Amino acid sequence: MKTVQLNKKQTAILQTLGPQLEKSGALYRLWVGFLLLLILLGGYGLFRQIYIGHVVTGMRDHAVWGYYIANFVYFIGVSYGTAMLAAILYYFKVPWGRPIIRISALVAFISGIIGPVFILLCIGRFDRLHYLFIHARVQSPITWDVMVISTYLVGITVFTYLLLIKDFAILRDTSMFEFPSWRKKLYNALALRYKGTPEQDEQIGHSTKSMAFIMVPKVILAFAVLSWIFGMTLRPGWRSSIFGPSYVIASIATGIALIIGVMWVYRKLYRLEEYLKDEHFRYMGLILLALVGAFGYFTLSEYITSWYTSMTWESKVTDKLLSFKEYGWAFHLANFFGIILPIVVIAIRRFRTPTIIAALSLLVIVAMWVRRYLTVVPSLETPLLPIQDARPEYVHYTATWVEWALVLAGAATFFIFFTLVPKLFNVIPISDYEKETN
Amino acid sequence: MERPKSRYLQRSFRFRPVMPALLLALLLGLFSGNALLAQEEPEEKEQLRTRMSLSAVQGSEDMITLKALVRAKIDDRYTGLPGLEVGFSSVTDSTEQELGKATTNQDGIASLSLAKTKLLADTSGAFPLTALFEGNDEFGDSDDEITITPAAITLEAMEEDSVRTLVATLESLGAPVPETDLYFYVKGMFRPLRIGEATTDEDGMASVEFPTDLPGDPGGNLNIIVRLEEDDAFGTVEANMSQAWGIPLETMPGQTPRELWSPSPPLWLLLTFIALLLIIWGHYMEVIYKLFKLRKNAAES
Repeated sequence: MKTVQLNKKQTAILQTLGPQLEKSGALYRLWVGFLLLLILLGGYGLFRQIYIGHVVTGMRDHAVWGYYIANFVYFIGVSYGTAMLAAILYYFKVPWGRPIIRISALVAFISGIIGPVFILLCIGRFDRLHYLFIHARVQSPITWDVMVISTYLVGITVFTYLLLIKDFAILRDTSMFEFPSWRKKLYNALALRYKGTPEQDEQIGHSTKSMAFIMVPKVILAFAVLSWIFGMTLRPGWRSSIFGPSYVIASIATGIALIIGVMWVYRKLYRLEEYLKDEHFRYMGLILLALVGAFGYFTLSEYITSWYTSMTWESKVTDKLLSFKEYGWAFHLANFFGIILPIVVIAIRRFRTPTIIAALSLLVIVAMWVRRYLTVVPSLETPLLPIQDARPEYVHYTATWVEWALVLAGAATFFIFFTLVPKLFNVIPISDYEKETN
Repeated sequence: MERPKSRYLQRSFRFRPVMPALLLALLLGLFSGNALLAQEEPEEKEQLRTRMSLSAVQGSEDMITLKALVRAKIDDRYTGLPGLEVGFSSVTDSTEQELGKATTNQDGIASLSLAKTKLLADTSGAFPLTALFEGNDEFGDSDDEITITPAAITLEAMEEDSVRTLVATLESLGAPVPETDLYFYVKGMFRPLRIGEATTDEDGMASVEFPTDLPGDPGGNLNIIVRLEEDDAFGTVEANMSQAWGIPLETMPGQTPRELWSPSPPLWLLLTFIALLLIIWGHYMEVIYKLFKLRKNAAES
């Protein structure tokens, strides 16, 4: 039976990455255990939320959204952003992009799974979930979002899978490792009898390219629909024509920052300096610089117009964001660490080292989350018709431990996925090096 | 060609202590800030002195509402304190009876509504009442007492020769109360609209003419309120009634074509929606079909 043949370069990569596929150390197990513990804690929080009700969260009549929606908007945005990057790098065959495409697609895939889960956490009546489909109203932006997200999830799953088929075949055919039989069966099933024939190569190449092509308009549509849910609601801080573009830019920037973070960790852990080179970090750093710069401009534009025109309702939200007695610290620190600092540091050439860029990316990742939170909560805390005699906990949203536990469980799911992935297949696409003889 | 590493690049370890410090600063700043975790935690300081003022509103059907406003001087201004528990009691020379407890709202007011029959009366028939906030770590205790003489207003609406008149009668302990100002209002969304005031005669009666141009609900109903305001002896006394003296409000004038609750979406929206879904899902189907074919082709070869 014909099998996929490897050249010297591919064999070398497989040898480098081999140990991680076969063995796991004590530290690794400890780390996975810790993440599982966080997920379990989240599970307990979820149980309490379902059993007792949403009263265990900090969400009340004014702020009906909180951490969950901030997290949803954050993760799904990251997913769209990274999917777009992967699609563009693939479609245009960007030469340096080769080792990044797979990581981007994986970030897009897992964020795309985690994001919508947080929407589900916001739903009080799971038993009515199917009403979203059987009573769908095309007039409602929520229906657009349900459709667009489910469509997108199928798309990113197929795209990511297409990127992996050849590597599954390589792992199926290699005699370098002693895999347990369940893994052999898994690779055999996932490889779809791919044997490296020119027709199969052409079929996979064509399908992937076609998925990459449609990914870009689809992601723009998905981005637009999600930002319109906010933008089409009459609320200060949301109803702004720049909301969409600003969200798109911020999400792609966050996605790039996450990819840089994942790249840095993989490079350190698995000694991938030969594949994830310094120049990859430099290029990604420069893209990050451009994106946070644009996001900074949009932020300034959004808030300076609302501050200058001083419309009463708008001003209330802007004042909350600027006042150090309310959200001022969070807002200014997020802007400093998420926008100004990355711009200043990456602009200086000598600072463009992988470690510095990765550290800046971590700052961007945290700061952008804070900005998402500041998009959702202060606007909701500023209703046009305040409830009379409102209780204090209605007026100010405060997250409870249940929400913290579930947010941490979401982050833990992200980490555990990226911890387990290198055990299943290579993060560096071996099949992409089939034409190299070095 | 790979660019040679500059000497700065090789010395990048120098920056390592800086970045964790910056990260720590960011995390501390963001998560210790009042905004994300909780409202501002009060610092350890002396108890603030509080002031209480107790008032009562006597309504219809023998109900009375006790209102205790708890305030403290914060930034040189007296501010209502939310979330404090106030206990209300009815006290005579010989007996004290607890009436109940209530928590202050956002404006610092704790309200308790109950039937007048639950109150103890003194020898003159009046109700001596007290309210007490016991104090906590932040705020000192305060209390207030008032004596309320029972009173009630009866309100009548009369129409003669298309002149509409409201007649209110104020009585206390079975006797009319003369020479007292009463105010007439129509309930609004935010605050009542004052439509007139009048002084009671020796029969305790006061009347005002009612305007004919006020908009009402779809049935033309208006909620009319008459009130004796913050009297030393009676507190606030009020009565209200619903009367169809307003101009009926026409709901939904004409069609609103872009309403979200319309029975069916506009055709262009439906077509765009279906077209977009068909294009994308058609695309998926093609790719998934090819994947199946990939497997089949391999089997054949």
